[in-house]
Amino acid sequence: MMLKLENVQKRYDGYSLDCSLELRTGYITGLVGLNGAGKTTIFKSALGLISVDGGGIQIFNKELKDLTAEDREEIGVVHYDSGFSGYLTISNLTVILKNLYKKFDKEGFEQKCKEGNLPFNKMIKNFSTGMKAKLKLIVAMSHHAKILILDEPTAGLDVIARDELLDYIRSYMQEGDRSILISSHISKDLETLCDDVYLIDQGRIILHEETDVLLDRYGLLKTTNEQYKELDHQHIIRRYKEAYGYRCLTDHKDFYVHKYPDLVMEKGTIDEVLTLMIRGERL
Amino acid sequence: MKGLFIKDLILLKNQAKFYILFAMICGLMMFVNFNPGYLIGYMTLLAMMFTFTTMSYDEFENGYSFLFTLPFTRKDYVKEKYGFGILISVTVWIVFLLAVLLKSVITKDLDMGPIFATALMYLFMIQLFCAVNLPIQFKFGAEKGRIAFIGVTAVAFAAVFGLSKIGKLFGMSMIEVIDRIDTINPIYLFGITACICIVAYVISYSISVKIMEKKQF
Repeated sequence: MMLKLENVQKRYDGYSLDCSLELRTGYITGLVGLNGAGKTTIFKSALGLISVDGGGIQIFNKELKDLTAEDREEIGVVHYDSGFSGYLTISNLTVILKNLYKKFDKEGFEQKCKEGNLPFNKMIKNFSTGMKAKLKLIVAMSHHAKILILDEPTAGLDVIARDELLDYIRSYMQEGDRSILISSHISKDLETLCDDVYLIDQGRIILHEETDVLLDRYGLLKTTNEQYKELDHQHIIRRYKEAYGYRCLTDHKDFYVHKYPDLVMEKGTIDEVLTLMIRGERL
Repeated sequence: MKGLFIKDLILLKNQAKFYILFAMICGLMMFVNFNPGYLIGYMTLLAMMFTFTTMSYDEFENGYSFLFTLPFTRKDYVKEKYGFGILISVTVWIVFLLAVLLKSVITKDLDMGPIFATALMYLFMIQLFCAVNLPIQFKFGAEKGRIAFIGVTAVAFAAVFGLSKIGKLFGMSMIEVIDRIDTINPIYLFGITACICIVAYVISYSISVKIMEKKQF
């Protein structure tokens, strides 16, 4: 197990986090939730940036507090709103990273920066949003970390830049024994990238599922009031009242497709599942 | 920790233009009979101030929440800032002292004894300033830290003022105390001041470590 959060609790004024989460070896695990759901709090807890009020956090099967500087070399991090000082250049970073990480891959780092058209001698503060995001990811990947913790790495990027970054992330996983925990408010990114996803709302994990299972087995059923009354409710997880009747979330799409071929069944995307899980009424 | 130190050196190098400009002005001031001891002290103080500048760079735009995911402990970070401050200030102090010494050899118009004594006293005072200011900067950050430091300075002045008033009640004036300090053998005086600096640094460092270990990012 690369990372394990067990009943981690954190209380702020008007907000509390209480969640368990696992990042398995070889997995890309996504964390999805609305703004303020607790994604960043989870990341910060896992990285020891904030103290927790309860529960346990383990990285590489070690308690977080026992993590040494050497262990931290095996973790690469991207924060959407934080990074190296903007008064440094890529040339400066090369020297700094070489002295921070024993496994820093200077050639690989410089190569990736060249491929990404990043200027070596321009201060980072003068980079565009896309360039900064690209650089943060290249830095996180530059020292062969076993875990990447990526908090909104694609925030503020256009489609092309996002795709480019997602390709970087995919290519990183080609070498085994690596894991990535990633959050994104663009869930479509995660659908194509992640092996499993955690949906979080108001500090609680409301769903954990393998991405394939979520996309294959979850579906949205649209019914009129009459159709809903006659519907078998045993596999309906949530329902949401609409003007035309009900929108229902099921984790047994095939069951309803076969039993009610005339009903409208839509594919369960992460966005739809998240929306229904949060706004829908539990049966 | 080496990487952190190099980061700060690079940040210093990137801002070197500003420092070199000041150094040149100070160099010129030496030739118009400005007190060289004071100039050495001033340049040393500027160098020391750069330690606080690196902290504000680190803190800027939530920088700490990235910085503390890098492979070093919070204690290492504190250690590096103290080390950086001491090393940079002592190096600059030596460089400027040697520059003044060189000038005195060339122009033969300087008495190095008092200059050295003044410069040494400035060096100790700057170290004390650093020892007091670093925990404040760690606790309050660059912006609030400035205000907090002004507060601490005001309290220190008030304390000295209060002590002088209390002293007067017992028939002791501050002037007399200062005069008495002047009569102490300079070697003892420097020894005592150096000890005060070391004790101040030890206390300051342990406070800073506690502050940083508790801090939330």
